[in-house]
Order: sequence, then structure tokens, then C-alpha cells
Amino acid sequence: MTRRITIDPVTRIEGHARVEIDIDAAGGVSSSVFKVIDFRGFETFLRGMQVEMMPTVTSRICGT
Amino acid sequence: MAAKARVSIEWLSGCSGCELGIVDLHEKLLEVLDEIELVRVPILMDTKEYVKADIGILTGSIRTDHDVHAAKAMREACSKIIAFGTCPVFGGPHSSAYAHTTEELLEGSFVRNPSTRTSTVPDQVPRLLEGNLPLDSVIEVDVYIPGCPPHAAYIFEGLLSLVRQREPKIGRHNVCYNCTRVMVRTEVAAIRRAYDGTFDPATCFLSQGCLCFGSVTLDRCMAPCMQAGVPCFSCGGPSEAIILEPQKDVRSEVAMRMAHLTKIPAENIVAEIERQAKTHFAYAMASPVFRQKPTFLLKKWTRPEGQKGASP
Repeated sequence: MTRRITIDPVTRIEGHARVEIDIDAAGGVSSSVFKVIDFRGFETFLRGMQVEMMPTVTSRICGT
Repeated sequence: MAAKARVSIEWLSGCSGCELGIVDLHEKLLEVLDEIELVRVPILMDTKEYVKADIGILTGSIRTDHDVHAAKAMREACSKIIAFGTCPVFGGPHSSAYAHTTEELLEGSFVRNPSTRTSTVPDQVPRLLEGNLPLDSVIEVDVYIPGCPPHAAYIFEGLLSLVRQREPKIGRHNVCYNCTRVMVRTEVAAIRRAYDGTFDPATCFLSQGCLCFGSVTLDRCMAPCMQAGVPCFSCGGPSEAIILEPQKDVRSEVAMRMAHLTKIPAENIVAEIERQAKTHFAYAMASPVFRQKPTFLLKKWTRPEGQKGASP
């Protein structure tokens, strides 16, 4: 019998994540996926901002 | 001793800087922990459920359908909700995504990103909403504590006033209130960028021809940037005056002060702020406080040169 173990949310980390582990009939791991589930789009919206703003705004990607 | 207030924390789309802001209470945290019990803190504890609590602290903004679900679940589980930090109050720095479509954002990160080799947008993750939204666009909020993150003094007062059920003793000043730089009149005739030469550390940035937004930003920070030689980028969100009066406009307020202090014509300053709009409006673009102002034309200001004449 196959089954899936889901850890949602993963705690005691910075940010949002989910882990999904699939177990096959023999009891072995057939797949293991770590999903980062938040997205804000820094790569795009930083374009066109003033360069002197970069140290202050990029530090807000993670943890001020 | 009275029972401790149960406090539950959940994060939406943010950076966890606000959780660190709570740790910035240092020894004061012990005093707070005498009166509260933390029952859910994702960065610290393994409680995954939305357990019942007296006070719910939400950090981060509403960006995905998961954020909407989490915010509603917290509202259901908690008697009082605090919008904690600039993200849930005004949208936060990723509000500047307002200048882009959601499709552009996803393409920019996953398809046209020069530092990755992927060509597909992830589809097994929560759906992005069309825009970035403040928390009160989805649920009722009881207390707002903006700041990026809020200074520990405001966190302390905000939390304890709620636990002790009294009015918070919190000032409504702008950032200039705690800034030690002095405004003086000068002969400066041109706008200078923050990297353009050196600035006198005792004199107001505006007097020296450098754009600083402290005068239109709510003080929830104690003005640390200006003391470190960095002009204010409004990370705490707009001042009370800007929030309360729809006609009051950030760029003309700053231009008026700066033109008064220097020899730079106000219209030059307004034009420069519009040119740098994505920078100076970044943290609160998602908020109706700005979007509903008749003078806020961000999408026009950020349009490529040559298309500026077209209607927004």
C-alpha cells in the first residue's frame, strides 16, 4: 500500500513551507518534495527603484 | 494571579522581521511574558493548528489564497487581532508589485530570471492574488501597529495596553519627531542623491537637497536611519496627516518643505519624486490610503519615457 506523509506547515523555520513524502508499497520513499509556498516577486518589482533603496528593501526579503 | 492572555502568531506574506522585532524587546520580553502566554508561534513552536487565543498577531500581507485562508482562520480563533508591521497595515515593500501584473511577477522570477534555468511557473503552490493587499481588506482588524518592524517600545506598549485593556500611550508624530537633525535654510540649488557626496550629520537631509520622507511618515521606528546617515524611505507607512486627509499628498508635502528650506523650485522636487515614485511609495502602495488619493498616479509616473502623455 502506498501512502503520503505531509508536513504542513513546516515550523521553526523562517517562511512558509510544506513537505510531501510518498511511501511505496515496499515501505521505501518513492518521492520527497519540499515546497516553498510564498512568493512576493522581488526580482521584478525592484526594477526601476532607486539604487540607494536597495540595502533597505532587499533586507526585507528575509528578516529585516 | 490573573490568567495570562493567550497570544497566537501567524505570518502571511512577509519576511519574519516582525517576529524578530518582538525579540528586540530583550529583557522587556520577560515582563511581557509575565502577562501573556505564547500558544502559537510558527518560527518558534510546532503548533500547526489555529488554536483559540485572546490575542492574534498577524504579520505579512495578503498575497496568496493561503494568506486569505490563514487570516480568516486566525480571526475565527482569536478575540482580538493585531495587524503587526507595515505589511498587514499598508502592504509592505512588496506593495510595489502594484506597478506590475501578477503574470509579470511570476515570469520575472521563474521564466525570465537570468540566474535560474527554469522555464515553468510552479503550480503546486497557493495561487497568487491579482494584487498585494493589506490585512483589513480580508478580515476585521482591532489594533494596527505599523513599522518595518515596529520599534520594541511600540510593541511593548501596544501589547500591554491590549492585555491590560487600556488606551495605548502611543504618540502620533511623524519620523522627524525623533530625528536629531536640524532644519536650516540653505542656498542649495539642486537635488542631490544620497550617494552624491557627503552630508552634514547634524543638518536635515531636506536642507541639504536630499529627498527624505520622515516628515510624511508615521514614527513607529524612533528614527534610526537618519542617525545612520540614511534618509527616510517611509517604511513605516504614511503619517496620520496623510492618512486622514485624502487631498494631502506625499510629494507636494515634501516638496513644499524642501523648497522652503532650499533654493530648489518645488516643481522640480515634485517631478523628481514622481520619477522615483516606485521607491518612495513602495511600502504603502497596496493601501487604499494611497490608491484612493486623486493625486496618486503611480502607473503613469512609472510608464516608460515617451508614453507619459497618455492617460493613466
